Amino acid sequence: MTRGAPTVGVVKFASCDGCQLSLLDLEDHLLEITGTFDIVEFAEATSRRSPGPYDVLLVEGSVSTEEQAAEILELRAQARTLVTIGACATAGGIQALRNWADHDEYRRAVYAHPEYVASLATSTPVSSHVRVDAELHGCPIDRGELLELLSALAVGRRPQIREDAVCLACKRRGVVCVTVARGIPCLGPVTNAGCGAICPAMDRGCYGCFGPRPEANMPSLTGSFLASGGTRADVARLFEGFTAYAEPFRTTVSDLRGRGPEEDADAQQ
Amino acid sequence: MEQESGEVITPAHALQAVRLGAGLGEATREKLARVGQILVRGAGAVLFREGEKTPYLGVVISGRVGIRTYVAGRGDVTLSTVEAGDIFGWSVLVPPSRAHATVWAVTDVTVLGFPAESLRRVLAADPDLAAAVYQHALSALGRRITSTRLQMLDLFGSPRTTEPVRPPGALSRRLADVRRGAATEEPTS
Amino acid sequence: MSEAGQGHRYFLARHRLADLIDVLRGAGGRARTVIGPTVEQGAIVYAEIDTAADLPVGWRDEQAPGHYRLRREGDERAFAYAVGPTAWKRHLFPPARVRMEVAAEPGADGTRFEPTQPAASATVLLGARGCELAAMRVQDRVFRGGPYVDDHYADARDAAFVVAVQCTHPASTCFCTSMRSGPGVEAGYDLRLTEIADGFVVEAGTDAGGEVLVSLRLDPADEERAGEAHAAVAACAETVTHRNRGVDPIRARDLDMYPEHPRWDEVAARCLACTNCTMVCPTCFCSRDVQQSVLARPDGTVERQWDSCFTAEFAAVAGGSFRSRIRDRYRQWLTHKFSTWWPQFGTPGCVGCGRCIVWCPVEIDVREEIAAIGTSAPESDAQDGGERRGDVDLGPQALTTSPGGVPEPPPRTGTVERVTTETSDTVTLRVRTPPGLEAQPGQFVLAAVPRVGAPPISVSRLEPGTLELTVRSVGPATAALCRLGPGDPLGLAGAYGRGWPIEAARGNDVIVVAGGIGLAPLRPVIDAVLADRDSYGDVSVYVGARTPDDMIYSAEIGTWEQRRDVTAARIVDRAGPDWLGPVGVVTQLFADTAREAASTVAFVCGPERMMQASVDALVDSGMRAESIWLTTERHMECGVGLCGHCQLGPYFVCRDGPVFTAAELGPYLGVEGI
Repeated sequence: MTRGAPTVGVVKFASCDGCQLSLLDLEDHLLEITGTFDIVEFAEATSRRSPGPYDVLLVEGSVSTEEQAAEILELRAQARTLVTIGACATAGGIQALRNWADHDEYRRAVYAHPEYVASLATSTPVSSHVRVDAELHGCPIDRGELLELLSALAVGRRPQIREDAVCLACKRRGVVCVTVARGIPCLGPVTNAGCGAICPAMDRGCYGCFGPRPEANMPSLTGSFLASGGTRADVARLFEGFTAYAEPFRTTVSDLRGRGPEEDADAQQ
Repeated sequence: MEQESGEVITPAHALQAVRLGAGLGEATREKLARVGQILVRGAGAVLFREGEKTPYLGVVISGRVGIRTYVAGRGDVTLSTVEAGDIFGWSVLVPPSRAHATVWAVTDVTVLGFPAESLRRVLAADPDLAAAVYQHALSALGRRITSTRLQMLDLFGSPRTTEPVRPPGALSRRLADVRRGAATEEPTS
Repeated sequence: MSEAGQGHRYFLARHRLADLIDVLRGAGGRARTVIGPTVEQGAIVYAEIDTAADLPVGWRDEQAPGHYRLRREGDERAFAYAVGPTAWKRHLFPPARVRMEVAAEPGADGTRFEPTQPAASATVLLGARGCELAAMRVQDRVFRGGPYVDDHYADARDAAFVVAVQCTHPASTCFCTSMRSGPGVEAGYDLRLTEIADGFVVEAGTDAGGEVLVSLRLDPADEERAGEAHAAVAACAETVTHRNRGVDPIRARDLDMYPEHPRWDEVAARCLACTNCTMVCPTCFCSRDVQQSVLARPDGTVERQWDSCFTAEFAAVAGGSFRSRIRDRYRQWLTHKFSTWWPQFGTPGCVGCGRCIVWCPVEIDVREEIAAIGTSAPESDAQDGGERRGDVDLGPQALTTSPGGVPEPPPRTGTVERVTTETSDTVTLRVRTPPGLEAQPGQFVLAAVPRVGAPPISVSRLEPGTLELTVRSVGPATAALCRLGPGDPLGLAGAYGRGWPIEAARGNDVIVVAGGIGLAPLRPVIDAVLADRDSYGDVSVYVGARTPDDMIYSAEIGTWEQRRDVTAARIVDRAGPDWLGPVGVVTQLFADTAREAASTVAFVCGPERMMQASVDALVDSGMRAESIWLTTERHMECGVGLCGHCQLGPYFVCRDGPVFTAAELGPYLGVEGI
């Protein structure tokens, strides 16, 4: 570790740890990373602990409990640059599907002793709670994008992470469009690139784990799915994945299902 | 009243030389000039203040007049200036004739002023003159609004960030801070 | 066999297709990679071919808007399909290639920019269709027709042996006959094949092609077979012309005259801005340069990647995107293909292959859009009533590199001599000019910081041996430039673009109107005019800024104000009580002065909206739009007309500008989304 190197913290909320493990997956670069940054907090890798401040704080996971909602406020105050990593932190994660459902019912169905589970009725992205400086999307995030983020931080360039559609990545890679050539519904046109078009390359449709592009044209794509024979429930299910709670997927799911997530119901009361 | 040349300026002379007067027939112009007064003020002098009854319609004969307002925390802010030949104090023409901003002499100024009461009287008596004065005031206001709109656009202001959702710009700016922080004692050039 | 010369038809029996491929792989003693059609991922794509068995023998395709399916016919035909999702540009202009290696190591020579050298291996493009050869000719004009060429493209093109196949099985989306690009193949091939019932009629188009035929020892094609081949292609043309929807390219040329047609909104409501149409298009050529480096390593690369005018950042500058809506981007793409490509390259940018129609996930069909806009355009919407004429000519001859065309140069390393702080966010770097760099007033350089970026910066002063760059920190790359100190190296590519016509302004009154940092590119004009003051009439300089503190070159403006032979004035948007100058907009400084149209030249630079107001005021005061020169800002990556980003109507701002007359820019200045 270089003296005076920027300090990095890695923390997590409601999530599976997969995204922070992507940092450890950067095996070939780990020594360089620790030579460039001073990793002061990373429970998966070091027993060092730091309450901050951090020059860069990587945050995994969604806010799912009262404690987490309080903690993220404190962490924000300690972080000069706060980067959320992964679908949970950026979009609420798969667990945000409960935002549309009856929380108590879910709790009772899953846990033997639901009374011990003190979770909020909603799972929300970090950006619903504090200002976020940058986001790495995906479930899990792409190692290459993480390395690019750190590299950009190291030399002071704009991270080369774009808001392209997955389609652009498919075409660059030479993947034949699964929708056009096989009739497979694919969320690629409305989803952020960054994954390297993994699913279409494996003959599957993109299921949107990198989240909606800011300019996603939802009416056009859902209209095309419906026109090719899908029911409203079928089409809703396509978006009910890891990033369902991110707009405009959220509104699309609610419209197709005819009911909004919990937060909206609260607002109406 | 004297100019540098020593020549005495009369309201009639002054009016003839500015756009307002040039648009009037000779008789009409003289009628208007008869209610005018030449005012000379030193740089920094306040001609009239925001909130006061507007005392007169002014035409800048020489020098520069500023229109300013007071903003708590920012002090006096000059919003626009009025250059020789142009008018100020237009609010005298429309009720309630209250000044919307403070008018001050940015430099030494010579102003041709038409006091409120006598101006209203002469305009009421001569619809043609009134039409000409109002038209002149309207065109001056039109230009001023156009300018103000451009000023409001803040065209030279800081560019907004181009990536609202994933703001790497913000990130990199912060990184710049990080780096500056890392290289604490290094003199910046 | 007497002579396998050009113009002679030979017969290749079906079972000898394998021999052809063998010869192609090793013909002329060179090992060649054969790229050709094969079935993969449910489509016929172009990939490496080892044997005839790799070809799509017995397959048929079914294509419609948003729809592509293969079915097995089970016969022996190998080329009974229309073009699939791959275009040959993948091999000539790959999706990503390292353009430059860079380094930022300590020491005098630590900063390096080394372009990668082209090293294309010999390749056979097997199965290229008429529309695809037309597309290559279109890209030839883009990549090797101008003063700067993409040497990697040129090299790959020269290393390619083209085996063309004439079309006999068109898709419903083909409209090659509209664009005069097919289904036959007339030029640009080494060998030409036409598939018939029992094999192929083969012709050589070059000596290299002839050698292949010689080594195959083919018999001449008999009358019957030659007739069958001819009839098959003719029948294909008939189908495309009479059964498929087409496009009238001459009418389509006027598409850009209807920027406000309501159909743009309708198509934008469907368009996903997914970029598929541009990616599959065989002529789309836009690229982005991506800075790559790992952590704190001093070395890195600049990778050139396919880009698309449908991406959010394509037309973005620090202040926002010039085409922020999907509508703007669709309009840009379609009008570029069919209208503005003509003045740029002398042809349309479309070859009628239909890929953009098939591979659009929401079935947008350019033929329908063109018909809707071109035939129902309201008269009043026309931006330019001028009659346009011209025949589609996709140029039968392949273009070799234009005389005088040079490879896109890398940045040269210069050294910062002095840094002057102009305002809180703007500095002026005085740079020792690297050898070989020549600049004219109004031109710009790409100022490169290794691993960070290379933004375009106008030259703000030119002196023997040095130049100055005034840089405002609006993003990471400009911030990096602003952090440079004396002795620091930086890369300079250029100077590029059309500069100010200072010489032509001799004998005239000169008006300079600047807003904000727009004074920077104008300062060399003022320098040049004042250095030769007697050659010009009245000289006026008007400068606007946000506040007195935001005014660059403040002291220097003071010296202009002192001169008796110059009228100089400045104005600010807002000021405190210490400011004794005018407050308002820059046009107030000069709007009331009448101008002599015949003998006044104006030079204007600032934000686009301010330039518009200035042009209006100058025209109102008697000037002609042809005598008002402006310099405009657009997103730039390459600086030399290859990357496509800076397009503004028919112009490449980097190459045709950045200096334009108000007459040239008139239709585009301040128009939303252009």
